[in-house]
Amino acid sequence: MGLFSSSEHLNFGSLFKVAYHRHCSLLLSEAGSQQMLPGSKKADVNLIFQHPFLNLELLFDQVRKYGQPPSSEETQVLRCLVQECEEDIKALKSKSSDIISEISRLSRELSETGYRLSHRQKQVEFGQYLLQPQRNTAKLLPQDVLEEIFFAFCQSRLSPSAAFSKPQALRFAAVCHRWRGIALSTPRLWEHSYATSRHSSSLELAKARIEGCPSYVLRLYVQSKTQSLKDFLLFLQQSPAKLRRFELRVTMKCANEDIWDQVQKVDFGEVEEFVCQDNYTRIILPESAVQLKRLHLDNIPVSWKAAPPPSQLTILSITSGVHCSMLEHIFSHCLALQSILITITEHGPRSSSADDNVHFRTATLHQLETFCLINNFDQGELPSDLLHSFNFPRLSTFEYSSDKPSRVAIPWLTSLSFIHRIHRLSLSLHEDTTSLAPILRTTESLQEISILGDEPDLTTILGILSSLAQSSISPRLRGVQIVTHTRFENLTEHCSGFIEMVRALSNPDTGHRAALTHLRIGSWPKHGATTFLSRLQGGCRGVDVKIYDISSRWEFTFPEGFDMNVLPFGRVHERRALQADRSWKRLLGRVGIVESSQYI
Amino acid sequence: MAAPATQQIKIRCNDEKEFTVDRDVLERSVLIKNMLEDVTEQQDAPIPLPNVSGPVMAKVLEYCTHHRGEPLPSADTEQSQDETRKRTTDISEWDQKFITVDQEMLFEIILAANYLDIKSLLDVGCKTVANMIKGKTPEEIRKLFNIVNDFTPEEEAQIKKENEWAEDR
Repeated sequence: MGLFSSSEHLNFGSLFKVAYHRHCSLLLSEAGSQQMLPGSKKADVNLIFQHPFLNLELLFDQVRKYGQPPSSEETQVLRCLVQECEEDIKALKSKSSDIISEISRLSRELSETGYRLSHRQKQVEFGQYLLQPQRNTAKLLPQDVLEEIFFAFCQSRLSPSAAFSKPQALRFAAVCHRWRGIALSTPRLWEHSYATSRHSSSLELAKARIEGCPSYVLRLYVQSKTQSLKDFLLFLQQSPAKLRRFELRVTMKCANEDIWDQVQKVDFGEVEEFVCQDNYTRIILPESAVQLKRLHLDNIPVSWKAAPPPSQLTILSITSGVHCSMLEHIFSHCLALQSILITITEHGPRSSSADDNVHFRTATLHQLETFCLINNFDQGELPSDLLHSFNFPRLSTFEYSSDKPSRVAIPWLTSLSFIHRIHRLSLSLHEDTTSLAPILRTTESLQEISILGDEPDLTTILGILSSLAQSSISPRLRGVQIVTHTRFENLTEHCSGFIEMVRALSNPDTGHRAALTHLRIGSWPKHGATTFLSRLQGGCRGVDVKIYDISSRWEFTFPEGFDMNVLPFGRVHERRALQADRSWKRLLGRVGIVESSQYI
Repeated sequence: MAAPATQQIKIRCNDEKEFTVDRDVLERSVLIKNMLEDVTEQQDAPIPLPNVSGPVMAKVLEYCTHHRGEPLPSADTEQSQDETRKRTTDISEWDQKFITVDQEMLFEIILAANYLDIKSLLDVGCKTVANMIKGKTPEEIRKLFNIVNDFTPEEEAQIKKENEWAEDR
């Protein structure tokens, strides 16, 4: 269909008949004869008919130019034409109005269709969502419930060694916008802040978290290089946040006392637990640490000369560098102590006095329940004299071990009166293998015993336990742990000795009232662990037998069929350390890490 | 002498499903307990629970029935318990078996516990979800709960940076 209807063509045709007629007349009058009409003019005439609109104005200009009135015939045609046009205009106006109405209607219809389309699309989306095997049901959970879930998760991840390391809430903050918003705006998820300079963002994030929840008591772990640590400590000094637990680890060895100057300016007013690890030359606790109850110092030569240790301490753990006179100082001032763990104690001559006749002060620590002296190496004077001077009426767990054979036998039974009331006893037999039997014979309260001895001692140990089970061992003894510095392949030879001991301790006819319930064996499981354990388990029915790895070499072939537990020392502080080790990585599902205090 | 009969209470769920339950069982819900205390006269009309469906309510009642008679956490003890109970994600054997349901039902139970104010059940639900999250990366969590990752690439880069050090130790 063309641009115009047939009637419109007709009307314009009539108009142009007139215009053509007039135009041709003019051309003829100018040219004098039709024969003289040049071809080009004929072409123009054709052009006029072919493109009437383009030339319409030209035609009317020519009419006006020559001023000739239309003839009667032309007038009639023109009038007729005008009339036709006016009628057409009316019709076109009407039609235009109809079209506008139609457009309006279609527009409405388009809008409705769009709405229905959108509605349907949502229905399809919802239907598809419902058809999915798993729905985003987590989306339905309100904010407070998600907060509870996050909090439950963060709390469950806390452990003595890793509690203050990873901000678990970051895991949720990385899931989606909604979870991130909730995680970042819930202060209690950030009570345990961890900062390290190893990744620049961590210090900044820790600062942001601390600033974000000043009313919360933070437990902060800082691991940093010296300069970053200084900056962070400066920030802490100005922060209104209250620290409850402060763990300070400096990865680089530094003896920078500036750090301590900065630490002391931090508000320790609410700090209940302080953990510090580094090669500082001295430690002087801030005077503001009036609430400090748990103190753990690792690899720091401690000096209490400037000020006595906080008297309100309940837990004290110091690794390395504790002198016998220091212990005396601690015992004298910290009468509220419940637990003491000292490793690598230098016994040497008392520095304060060369007088051998000087006696230790005496005091009673009424609350002390656990006392561990581990990896002692004496240089003459023994702590037994010191222990003899103090009273520990509630002491129930005692651990004493050394790395090297002692030159002087410890008078366990005569000097240490508390030994008879001990529930859990852990001894290394480097000092004195002959003392084991008398201790076991007289300690009727004993429930669990851990014995550390070299392999040559093993036969003696097992023999003593078996023979004592017949009559005089503690009737309450339920748990035995034996740790030897040997391999399981060597231990296999002792299987019958182990089994005999277990049977003796589990047989009510022997007079041992409490059947042995658990046996723990620590050794080097490089080879022969499977054979050893399978033979042992076969003969120890009813007793929970587990083995521990005490080595720092991890290249062994892990035995199939049972789980392994390892001590958290050396590189094995965390699962992560094990993960990095190819030989351990595949075994992690079956490896448990236990603290030494959780052996039994 | 016979023990006094336990009062029976009717409840109606949002799908018109009705339950008749012993009052002490229902009172594990603080919401219902408060509602019952507000009503002085005995009413036969069921208590409407518009936010809980029948199947979910059945599970909730199973929990409440098992734990009937156990002391409810009071406002005083709640705060002190809050610290200790949240320290672990350990769930008792029965509760663990009870909460072993599909993910949708688990979330429905959590929502119902939250609405009905049954703290111990909410706690079990939250711990269960927390256990499900254990050891999972954010991507695995998204997959687990069918959550869309709506972070921009720039945000993703920032989050990745944040998590680098968090996972480092």
